[in-house]
Amino acid sequence: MPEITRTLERKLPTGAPEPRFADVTVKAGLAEFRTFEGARTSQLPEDMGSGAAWGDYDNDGDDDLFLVSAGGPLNTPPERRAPSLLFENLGDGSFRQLRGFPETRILGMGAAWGDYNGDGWLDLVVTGYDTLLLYRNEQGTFVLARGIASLPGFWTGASWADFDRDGNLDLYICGYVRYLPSAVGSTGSTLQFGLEVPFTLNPSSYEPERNLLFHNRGDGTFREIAEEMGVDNTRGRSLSALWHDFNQDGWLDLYVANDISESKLFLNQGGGFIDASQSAWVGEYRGSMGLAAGDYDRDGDDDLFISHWVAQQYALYESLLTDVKDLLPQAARELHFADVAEMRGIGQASLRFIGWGTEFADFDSDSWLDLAVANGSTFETNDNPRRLIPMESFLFWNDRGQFFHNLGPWNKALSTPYASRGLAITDYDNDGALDILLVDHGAGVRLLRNEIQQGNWLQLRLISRVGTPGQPIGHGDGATVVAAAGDFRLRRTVTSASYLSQSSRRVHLGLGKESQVETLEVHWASGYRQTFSNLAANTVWELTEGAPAPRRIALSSPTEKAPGLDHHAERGSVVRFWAKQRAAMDAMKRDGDIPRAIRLFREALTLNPGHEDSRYYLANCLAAQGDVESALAELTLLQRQNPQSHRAFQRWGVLAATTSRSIAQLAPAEQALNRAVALNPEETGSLFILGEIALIRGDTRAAEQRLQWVCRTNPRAVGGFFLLGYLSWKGGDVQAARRYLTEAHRARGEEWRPEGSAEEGDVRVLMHSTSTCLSALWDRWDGSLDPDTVFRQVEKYLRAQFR
Amino acid sequence: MIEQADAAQPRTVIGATRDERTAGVSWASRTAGISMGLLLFEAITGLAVSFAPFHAAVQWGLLLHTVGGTAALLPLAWYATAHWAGYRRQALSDVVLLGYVAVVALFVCSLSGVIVTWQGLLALRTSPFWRTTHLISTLLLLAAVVPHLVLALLRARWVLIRPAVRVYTRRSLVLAGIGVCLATGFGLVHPGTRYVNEFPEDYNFLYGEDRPFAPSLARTSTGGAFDARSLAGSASCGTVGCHEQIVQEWLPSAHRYAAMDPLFQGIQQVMAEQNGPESTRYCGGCHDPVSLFSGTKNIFVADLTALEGYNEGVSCLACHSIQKTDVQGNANFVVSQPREYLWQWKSTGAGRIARDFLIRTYPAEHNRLSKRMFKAPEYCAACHKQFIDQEVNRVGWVQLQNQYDNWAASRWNQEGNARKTIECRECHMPLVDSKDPAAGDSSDYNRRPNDGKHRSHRFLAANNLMPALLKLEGAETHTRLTEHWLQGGYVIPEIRDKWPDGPIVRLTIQAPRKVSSGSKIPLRVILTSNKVGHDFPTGPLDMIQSWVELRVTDDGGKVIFASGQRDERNFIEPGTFLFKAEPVDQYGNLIDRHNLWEMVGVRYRRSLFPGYSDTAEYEVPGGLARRYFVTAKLLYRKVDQFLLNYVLGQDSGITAPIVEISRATATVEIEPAGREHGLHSDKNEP
Repeated sequence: MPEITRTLERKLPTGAPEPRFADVTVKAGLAEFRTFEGARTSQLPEDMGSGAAWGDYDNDGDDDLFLVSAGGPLNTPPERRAPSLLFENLGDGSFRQLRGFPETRILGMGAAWGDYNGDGWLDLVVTGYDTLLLYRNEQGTFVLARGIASLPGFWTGASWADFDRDGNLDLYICGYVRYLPSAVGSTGSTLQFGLEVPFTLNPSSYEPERNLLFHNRGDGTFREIAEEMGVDNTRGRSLSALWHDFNQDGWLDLYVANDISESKLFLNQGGGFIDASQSAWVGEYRGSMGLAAGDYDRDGDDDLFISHWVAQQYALYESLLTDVKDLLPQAARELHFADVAEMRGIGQASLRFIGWGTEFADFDSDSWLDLAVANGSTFETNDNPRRLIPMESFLFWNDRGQFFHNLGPWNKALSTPYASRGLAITDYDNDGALDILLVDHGAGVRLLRNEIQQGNWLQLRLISRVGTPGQPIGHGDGATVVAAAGDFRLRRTVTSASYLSQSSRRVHLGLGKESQVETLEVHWASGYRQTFSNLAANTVWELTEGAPAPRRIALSSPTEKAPGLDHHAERGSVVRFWAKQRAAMDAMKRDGDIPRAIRLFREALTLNPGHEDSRYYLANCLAAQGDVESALAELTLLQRQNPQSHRAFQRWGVLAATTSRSIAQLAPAEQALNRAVALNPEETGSLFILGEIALIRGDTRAAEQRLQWVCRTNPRAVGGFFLLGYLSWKGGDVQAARRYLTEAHRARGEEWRPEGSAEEGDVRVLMHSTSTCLSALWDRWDGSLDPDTVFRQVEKYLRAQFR
Repeated sequence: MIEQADAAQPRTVIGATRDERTAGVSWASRTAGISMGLLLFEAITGLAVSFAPFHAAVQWGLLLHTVGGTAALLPLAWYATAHWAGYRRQALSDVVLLGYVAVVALFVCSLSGVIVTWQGLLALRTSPFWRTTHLISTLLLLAAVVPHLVLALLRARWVLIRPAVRVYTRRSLVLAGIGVCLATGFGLVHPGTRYVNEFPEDYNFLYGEDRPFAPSLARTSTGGAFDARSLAGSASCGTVGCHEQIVQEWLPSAHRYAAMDPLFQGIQQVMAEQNGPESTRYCGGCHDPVSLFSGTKNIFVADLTALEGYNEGVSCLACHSIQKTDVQGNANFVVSQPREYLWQWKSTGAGRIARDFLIRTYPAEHNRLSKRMFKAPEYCAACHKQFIDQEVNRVGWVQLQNQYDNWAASRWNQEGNARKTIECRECHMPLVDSKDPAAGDSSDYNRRPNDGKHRSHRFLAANNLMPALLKLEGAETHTRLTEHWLQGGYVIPEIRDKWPDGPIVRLTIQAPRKVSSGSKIPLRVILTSNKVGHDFPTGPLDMIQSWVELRVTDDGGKVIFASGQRDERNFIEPGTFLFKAEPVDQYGNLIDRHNLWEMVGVRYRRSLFPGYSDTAEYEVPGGLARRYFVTAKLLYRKVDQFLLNYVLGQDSGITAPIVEISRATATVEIEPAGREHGLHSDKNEP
């Protein structure tokens, strides 16, 4: 039997990695998000969405996530639609919904981040049916901007680019169809590419919507100039638009994917456009959905991938730009593409599928761009017309530019069928491997963490200059990098379209076995070019336009993340935090102004709740004010934040023990102190208080052992010797008691040291508190060495304090 | 030149001209002009090496000087021979005499030049003798040639030779001028690395504009930033034929990994998060000077250590560029930016050959990197003494590790008597056999310039954890030597007369010879610092541990009593006699993450002052066996387990290797009850 089943096993293609992607949606805190609330009513706007956009809205170095929800049925009132939400990447592998983001309950389609006002903070455009929203990011807070009007229309893909290189990001918006809910014949069915579909689900039932190009005036306002520039594409039912410099002339061209109409390539000629769809051989008439561009064959030009409707095969347009470079004179180097999908393994494989979001990405960092495609049907299931037919998604592994193998079937997360739409890529957990986010119609999203064995890699955070004079606060939009490593060159551009989605702006370069990039050219969108050399692999480098040296950004895995530097690294917030924190420390330690310190620590902690020192000192200030309950609560929080925080347990134990007024109350203190001892059994502080507690409880054997341990290690343990004396006295050994008292006396005295020496730990005045449960006993001790006199008082004290 | 001799004798002017024609040499001859031009150029570029300020143009000049000098050897020899042949029948006069002197000087100059060039290219270093000879012969040549020419001119009939002299002068000046312009041009166009000595735009001067590196006391000579590259590049010091041996020693040393040490990195990160990134400058002066001075330790920086700083820690130049130190500690030193030789950072290829040549033949700037002050303990004190004060902990002053004062107050310091005193370098930088250009020293009391030794740059001490953990080059040897050192086995011949043999800390057990059955056995383990030059152990005592492991077994091998054992998590058991400190914060909680910014004092500190003793006392329960065997060991490890767990993770499985520093044994006989005997001592085992 095993032999038989083994022969039936599908083997991974030779050389292909096992496509290990873990579905971490729940762990990441994204499971609650819904793309659709309610039941479909079979109307086109309900089925086309939705997408997602990765962008570092808080400038803390990791990508945050905006998720667009298709809302719900067309006739649902807004308040019952599922909201589109912004999630902050917490840097520890999880996300938190940004509560302050304006409520957005729309029939949503796509979204794209872009810093349109050049203030260094990514703004957000959101599209939807009859919706066009622009949110301005004011240092982490979002307000609805009036820069563009929310025009009626069926708005789909949105793409930012500074097409005229004036330093300001412009915006291209795709218009799909002029949908009419109650059009004539809307209750019947029609043919779409020969297949029968309901009238209201067939795009060709409706006239195409125009596209919009918003030119950024640089003052926060836009002028719509699509018609003027010849890119309004009134005959196209547009879904996605990709800005990309296909002909490498330094100007971002525009490819528009149209459904049931001819897709368009507009070549940007110094800020004006010509329609090159036909001349470049990419003016296809299919059901085009998603777009991806990348140099999959490492031949120095960017190829174009288009996902299609069913039975149309996806297109892989190989750019012939470099192929003709050496053959033809400059003037004759026209841009052409050839569809090689069939030849490269994508054609047949995609015949049964309907593809949407897509990106080229090197998932195993072997230097060859792989391809991810989100699939999902537009057909309703036979048994439940309210649902759309789900499909497996594709992960095409690029076998050295020759062939794409779909590794989806080897991964459960990828092969589980959904009616997926949006797809966006980023390395959300900063581990060097590119992760996938899928948006599923009628469900939620799936975050697939890439756990494939990686080759060497390198990531780039590009800081472009924006505005006049150029400030180094841009996000590298439109920049192209060309990296030479070993015997190959890699080409990447900071652009993204996918389908209604946007991938990370951070550039990822898979290097395979190469340990560095020898030379790295950056062609900034402004036209400025720079070359960097010898960038080490497995590192995130920050390259700033015009700055000579690259900057190494420490890669922090989720567990190593520094709360002070990452979660709150938004500069203003960081500065405010440290101002508060330092003022609080000064108030407490230097000025002794405890109430002020408490207030300032609390303010600091609202800015950086993970800051351990602030919480620890807040607890101590609260205790100093007599508010032991609150102090213990803060220390409990600290224990949870950092279970290795010895001081959190010890301080809790000491505070609880010193404020106990009965033996029963000592139990939780003892528990906390035992925890501290477990963390560090070598330390004598917790051990000593545990000795005191044992003594108070009458467990003389335990008390004696703990105190002896303390005294063997710590020659200055006055209390240890004192209490050992008491225990000896109590046990009837007066001689030993006297000896211990003498030791206590010695330990309390000045420490002898050779003349002229200055030793570690020397202080000019005692600056720390040594109070414990019973420290009052030896603090009040007059130095008498007579055990009877001394320890009778101790006996009396213990009886009075702990009955 | 010859024609001037003729001109000096009017009677023979015509005949002299005929001589000149015969010899083919005249004022107007091309050879004379070119020879003089070359000589001038060689003199200018050569003298610039000795007398002009250090500059790229001088270095270019020196390279051209070498090429030109080599190329001119034959033409000059030919010219001199021809010149002599033409005038050998001349009566002896001051001019002729000067000519002979010039020829001799030229010969010596050429010979010494060839030798210096050969040494510059192929030897470890150039000899000061030949360099001086080259300089003096140059000066002598000038001193002879100039009056030779002037006198000849004065005595000539100016009218007859004027056109020829003009041609001669023009030729020689133009040629020399072209050479000098070339050198200057190269120097301006290719001056070497253009350092960016600027702080980042957003550099936060938290402790004042005038104290950019505070709370560290380290300063730069300019008060500003130094490009990280200017203090790094240690690999280029260790190329073949240069300080290869020294760099190999330094590679696994604590100075080298001072910044890449994962504990340093971890603690720095915690400090940045908890106390602000700027405050990590406190550590940077000694641990990571390259990053500190380049302004890397700043707010908004995720990685507080620059790549160069990370790789090199206390790099060659970071230490050797120090100009001034103060025994206050906390990196109280002033560092200057070393001026760069052309291609200084090249480790291979033609650039490296040229760099080596320049350093060897033009060594003055390079030699500035070696200073007599480096020998003084006060130099080491800048970093090997540390304190915190209100600026760091906001509360008050606390002394931290302090090797310098320990040593200064100890018996090892016999001030004014070098032959009795043992200073830092004598133990930690012992002499090793050397083929290094830096071998030999005339300024140390027990050294000679040709002793064929250099001071080891391993800085052997007690760091036996990191070299292997970081897989540094030569880690295995280094760790072995370190452990050998900790066990007192490392012999240093040159101080054998003043440094004792044996373990660094001696162990003695005091135990009764016999005890009666059933009674408790008092045991004392006496620990005496034997050859440690400062406290044992020495800081940071919050993480370093040395402890007594005591085991008492009976005849059957059964363990009767034990102390100082480690548990399965590598923690030392409670109740161990332990050399270390428990520093605390204001609330008496342990400073366990090296969080010195919170430290205000210690609960206790136990360490041995040089030459002093401490005693661990135990009371072993009595038994029925016939005899007890006592074994006491003094163990050492560099880092406590809690800190390793905290910084490297609970599951890292990393623990610091333990070294047995010394051990002692004793036997106690058990007799039937009633008879007891006095204490006896068992010394260290060899």
